[in-house]
Amino acid sequence: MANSINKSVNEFNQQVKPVSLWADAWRRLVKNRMALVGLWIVILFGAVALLAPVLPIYDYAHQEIMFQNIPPSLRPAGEVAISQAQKHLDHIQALIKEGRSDLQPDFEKATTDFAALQQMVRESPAANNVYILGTDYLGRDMLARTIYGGRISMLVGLVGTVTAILLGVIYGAIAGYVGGRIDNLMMRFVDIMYGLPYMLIVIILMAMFNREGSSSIVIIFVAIALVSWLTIARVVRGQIISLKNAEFIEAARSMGASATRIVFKYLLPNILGVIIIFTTLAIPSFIMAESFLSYLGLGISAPLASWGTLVADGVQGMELYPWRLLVPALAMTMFLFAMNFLGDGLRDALDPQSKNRA
Amino acid sequence: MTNEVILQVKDLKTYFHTDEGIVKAVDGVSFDLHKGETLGIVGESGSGKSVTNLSIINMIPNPPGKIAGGEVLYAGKDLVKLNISELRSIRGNKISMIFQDPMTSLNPYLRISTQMIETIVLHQKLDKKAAKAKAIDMLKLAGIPAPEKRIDQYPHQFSGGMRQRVMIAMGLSCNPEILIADEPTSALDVTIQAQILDLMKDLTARLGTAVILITHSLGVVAGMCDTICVMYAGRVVERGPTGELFAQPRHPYTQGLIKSVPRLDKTSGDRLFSIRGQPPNVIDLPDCCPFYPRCDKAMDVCKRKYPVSKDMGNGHAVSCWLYTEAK
Amino acid sequence: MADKNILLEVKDLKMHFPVGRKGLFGGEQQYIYAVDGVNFSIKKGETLGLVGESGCGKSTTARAVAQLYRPTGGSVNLAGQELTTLKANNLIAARKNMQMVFQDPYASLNPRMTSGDIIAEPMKIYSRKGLLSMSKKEIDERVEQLMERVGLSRFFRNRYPHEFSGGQRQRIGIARALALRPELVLCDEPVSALDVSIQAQILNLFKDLQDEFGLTYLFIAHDLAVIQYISTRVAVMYLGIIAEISGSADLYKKPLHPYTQALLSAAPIPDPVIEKDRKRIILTGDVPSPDKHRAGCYFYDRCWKRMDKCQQQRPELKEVEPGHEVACFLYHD
Repeated sequence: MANSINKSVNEFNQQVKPVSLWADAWRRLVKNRMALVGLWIVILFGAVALLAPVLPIYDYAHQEIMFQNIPPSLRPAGEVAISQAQKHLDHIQALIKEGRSDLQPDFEKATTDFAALQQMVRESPAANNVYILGTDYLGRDMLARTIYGGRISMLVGLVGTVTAILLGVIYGAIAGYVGGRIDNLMMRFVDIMYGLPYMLIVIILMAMFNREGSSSIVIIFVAIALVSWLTIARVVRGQIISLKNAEFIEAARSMGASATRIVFKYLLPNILGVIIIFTTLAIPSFIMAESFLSYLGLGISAPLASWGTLVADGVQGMELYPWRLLVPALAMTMFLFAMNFLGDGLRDALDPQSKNRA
Repeated sequence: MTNEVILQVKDLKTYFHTDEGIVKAVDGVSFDLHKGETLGIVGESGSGKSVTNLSIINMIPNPPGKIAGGEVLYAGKDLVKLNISELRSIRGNKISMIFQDPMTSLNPYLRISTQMIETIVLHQKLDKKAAKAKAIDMLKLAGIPAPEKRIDQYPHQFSGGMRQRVMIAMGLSCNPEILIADEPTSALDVTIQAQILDLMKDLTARLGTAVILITHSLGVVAGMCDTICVMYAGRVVERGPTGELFAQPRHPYTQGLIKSVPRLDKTSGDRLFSIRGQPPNVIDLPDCCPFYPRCDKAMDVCKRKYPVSKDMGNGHAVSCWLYTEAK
Repeated sequence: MADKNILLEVKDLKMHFPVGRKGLFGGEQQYIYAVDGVNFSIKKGETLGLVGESGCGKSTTARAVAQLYRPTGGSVNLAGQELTTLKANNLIAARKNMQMVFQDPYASLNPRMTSGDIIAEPMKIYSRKGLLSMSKKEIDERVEQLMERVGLSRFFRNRYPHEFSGGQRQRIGIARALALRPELVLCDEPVSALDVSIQAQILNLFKDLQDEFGLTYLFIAHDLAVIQYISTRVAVMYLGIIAEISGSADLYKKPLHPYTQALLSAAPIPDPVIEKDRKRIILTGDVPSPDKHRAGCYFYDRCWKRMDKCQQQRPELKEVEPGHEVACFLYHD
């Protein structure tokens, strides 16, 4: 009973430290290894994306035509370019030796090019650049492009999710709490929206409003968010309906609490777990959606890049220059896996069953 | 009730290993069950009464639970050490169990006939037709009207009281030696409860079944049981014949409990007696008498060691330092 | 009729819930007659116990009185004010005088609010609406005062419900109910979910608070012994109507209605000597559900003293002895 003050230990010498619901959830999350790894990766990616402008990397839009398609290497670009060209020369020479004398003019040309290359490398300041992840077909640094592409992709994921949540939660909360005819109408609207071919709509929107550079991002947001709030609206509505008749809600009504107060102070905080879980699983799906659009050519327009556009570019040179595809693809995959593991871990940690019943 | 002991629980310990520590749900419980006897186990939430019963037929979820010690002797064998197939031949057959909420213990997707016949065929080696006839007989015995028709219905077509009758019929269908009933009437209305308890008393007397009845209601044990075990925080604090326990409760907890129940036949005056404080958290409980913070008669030794059980004669035993010399 | 001493007067209260929809071809709308014409009054400082089995309508009655459900019919008069006709805003003002304690200590508190916030909540809501003028400091002080009064340390005000035991949570619920200093407290089975030893503590608390603050209780429970202990007068409900009302001691000594007699005989008494010799009235059949509108007495099917008249007409609740009303043709016509 009121056996006192904030003792951290009771009469049996048992620990009785106060434990908030969030602290308990955190403890459980941390025990889940995969989720923890996921969390670290997400934090790492997030940090790199945020700090990109101050990181010591090359400009992502700067083209060095001379050094196009350089493979990943720790050696300076000039050396790499020369060794590539040398390999090419040797290859032709070997072929001629085997009997293909028709290649002799090509050999001549290659030798001239080689000499010219050596000259250019000597004169170019960029020759000393080290492209750790290689360059693309315009000589742009893959590392920088992947990082900046990540910025865009993650931004799309985040903003899309936030929009979806704001729209969806409010819509679902109203439908669920008010109930009756209004709920019916609102949900039938959602059903209709669900029935529409989402891809088609996005494609049409993108085609209609095809703009340059940064405004293309806005359009992508709008397009994706337009359809994505439906799921969270349904989920929130369901949760609110199941909570609506709980005794503590009855208690609140009997105290004269207004509907707004009940929704924002009583209902929503108790479904926060569900919303958080939806967030961690929605971000990856938005990123995938955007990359799909980019692959179709309807995504972010140059000079901006996203992982999706990078992958699209990379596919074209896949056989000869595999790093152009692998680098952005691996980066994106790692991030998506990390978010999914984190989401799974959060779902287990925030399971309301365990702590609410003492 | 004869003097033949058919079940002996000796120093049973069941622990649960959780994130927050070791929960000693049952920590040294001992009692004997005689042929045809009705034994009541009384306790509040957290006392370990339900876990005790699940431990007898070894149905503790593992992980996180485990029987950590003690013996349960039945028919010359220690049930704790039996393997799963030997246990299966005993469960439902020689020792059968009924639960509190019949809606969750009956499979809502199967007809009553399917569920009852399954048990009978498994244990009694009868063919389906004979098994069904036996099942109908049991339902009739349990007071279900038109059992030939109702046996083919689903659980949701029965009311709460009817479902509990079906559970009892199922539990007794193989004529077990021991019936374990875990709060069989707690979810029922008072008038239905009276019917069901009456039925149980009648049937078990007729069939000679011994019953272990778990409940939190002192009124129910007073009417149904020959012997009572009072449990607190995983231990049996007092045990004895019903009449004697109520007339002369020895343990302060038992005394407090009996005094704090409002009685229909007496006016309790202005204030009800109440035991102060609340039941302890059984995680990592130290070795002491778990009742001492709430006990008016607590002594120094109570904080340091759990009391040894003292036999007061006539089958009445109590674990309290008031009655034993502390060494 | 305006007895100044009467705090709550309920007349012919009805609560009918529509079930399903009208048949496509003009079938009749089905209803659940949860409460079907209930009359009682409670004097200031008194406790009326409402007892009955599941489906009898006792919880629904409490909620209909509290206007959490708007009654389908009848009147509810609190301190001279008719509640059933009040509009939303005026109802909230009236509610200040009538608060509720709920049954489930786990479900009746918002898991995401601290105990201090939960107790302060009614005061905050009413302050916002301008129906109460308390500064934040005054509210905080009152919260601490209330916590101490119900037996909780005020240092626990920042803890969440899941950190308290069942009995402690119920104390929080009681403190919350007292925050606005109501005259009437509706208690919906507040001790049914508690352990026996805690139940006694909480029942004592209810009594102490009543003495100290002059509270009036409508106390619902299904345990007859609990009702007898806490109530001044007791009403026995069956299928949405009151079968019998009487003073607490009187009802137990002299139950008139056959249902009350059956109920009392079924209730177990914790005394083996008495239990052994008890002759129980065992009712046949199950507790029926309130979905049919009966012409005659609702208890007819299970009554062993029934007469022909009982099937044709419904007996009214009439006083047959001073302070003792019963709805049964055995005692009046």
